[in-house]
Amino acid sequence: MWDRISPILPEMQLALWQTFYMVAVSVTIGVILGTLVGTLLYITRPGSLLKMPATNAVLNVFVNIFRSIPFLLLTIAIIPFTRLIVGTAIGTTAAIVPMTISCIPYFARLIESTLLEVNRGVIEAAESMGANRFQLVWKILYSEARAGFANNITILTVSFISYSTIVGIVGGGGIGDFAIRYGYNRYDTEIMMITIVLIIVIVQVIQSVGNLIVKRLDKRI
Amino acid sequence: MININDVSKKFQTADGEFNAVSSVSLNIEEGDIFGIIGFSGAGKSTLMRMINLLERPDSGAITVDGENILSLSRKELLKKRKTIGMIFQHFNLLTNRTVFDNVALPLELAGVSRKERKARVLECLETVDLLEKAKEYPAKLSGGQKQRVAIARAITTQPKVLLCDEPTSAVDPQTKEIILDYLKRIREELGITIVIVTHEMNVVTRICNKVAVMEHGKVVESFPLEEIPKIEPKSAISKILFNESNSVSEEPKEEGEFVYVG
Repeated sequence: MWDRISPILPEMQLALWQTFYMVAVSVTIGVILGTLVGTLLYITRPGSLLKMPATNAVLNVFVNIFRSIPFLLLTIAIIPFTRLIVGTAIGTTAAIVPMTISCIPYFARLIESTLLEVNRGVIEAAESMGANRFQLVWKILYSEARAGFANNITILTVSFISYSTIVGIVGGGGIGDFAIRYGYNRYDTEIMMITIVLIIVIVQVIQSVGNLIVKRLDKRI
Repeated sequence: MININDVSKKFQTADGEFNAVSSVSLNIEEGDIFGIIGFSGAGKSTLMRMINLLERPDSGAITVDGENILSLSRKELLKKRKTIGMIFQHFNLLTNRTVFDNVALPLELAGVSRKERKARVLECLETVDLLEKAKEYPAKLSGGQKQRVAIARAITTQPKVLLCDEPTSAVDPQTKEIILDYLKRIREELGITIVIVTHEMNVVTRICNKVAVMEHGKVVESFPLEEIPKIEPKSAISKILFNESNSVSEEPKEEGEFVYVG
């Protein structure tokens, strides 16, 4: 088996690096902006901190639109936008654009549902102490939801390793593209299987680290 | 200390309007332990939550420590709330903060320096005899200990008023006595004015000096505790509350709630 792999090892390493690069950048930006959008979704809800139902409705429609476009189609549909942002529509960096766009609403929904689980009574207690809205979000909501945040980031990362396998279509490269080129285009099932096992191992490691962090952060029990 | 003048509050429900509080007036003096008693849905919690404007009345006036709280700007209100502590039936401690950090929270929100915070938090934890639990997380505490942490947290900013929303309804009878004793003690030590909402008459008889009885959003009777033996209860609700061996067993039970039948 090794003699089959060793010639293509450099290429495999490059593919792994590309996957890491695409996932790391899109997930990082996705987490930051998704947290912002998710928090807005939460605080503008009727009965929440800001009570801005119109803003909430508009935000919901936007999030739903981007959540409903299949990732493969989104990647192609936003090519002009991608070109505008990074100057080119093909390559690994270009692939980050659709991945990030897809990350933001996905993470926003995860964050919204995590925030909804925060005990209303605790927020009310902080209100009774004279906490302002910024403090309510920053010191109460985020603190109470921190284990959920860690869990959400794990879910997002695992999902986007999966999404990253599609962006070979715009020349994004990555481990998925590698598997398709060798395993499918060259009918090399063995390489395909090796790649799949590798991805399984990576996902297992990410999930385990994620679970460990969640356990550390969660003081509810 | 607290003057409630002709306040009303309606809620919109699926079946139309619901008068939670209608034309209630109360005067709570400095140093009082004032009980507000009634069955579920009588409007007592809503009434108390108006004192720190967690609930805003539709009409009427409320003065706390000489200040008309309804005329305060949002910023002034947040400042005012720091002078009104509050504890809750389900404690409402932050699960991801230690006992120490929970008690420190109001000071943190007020921008008090770390060093000053520490001294004050330790002082308050000592008041409720929980210094040794400072580094624990709330999940490791019993219900009674959680409520004592909540009391410590409510007094860190040295408030003039302490609002207690069913403070003993989620704990067992022994724990209830302990919590009430702490409340009594902090009133004596700090000279704080306490308002307690409860559905249990024995809470009122144990620590209150005045009581208001509420039914259907109205205060039906209000008098000092020492007059209870002399008083002839006028309303049906007062008769139930005073005659049935100081217990309210008709109260619909919430999950996990202990109703004391004395």
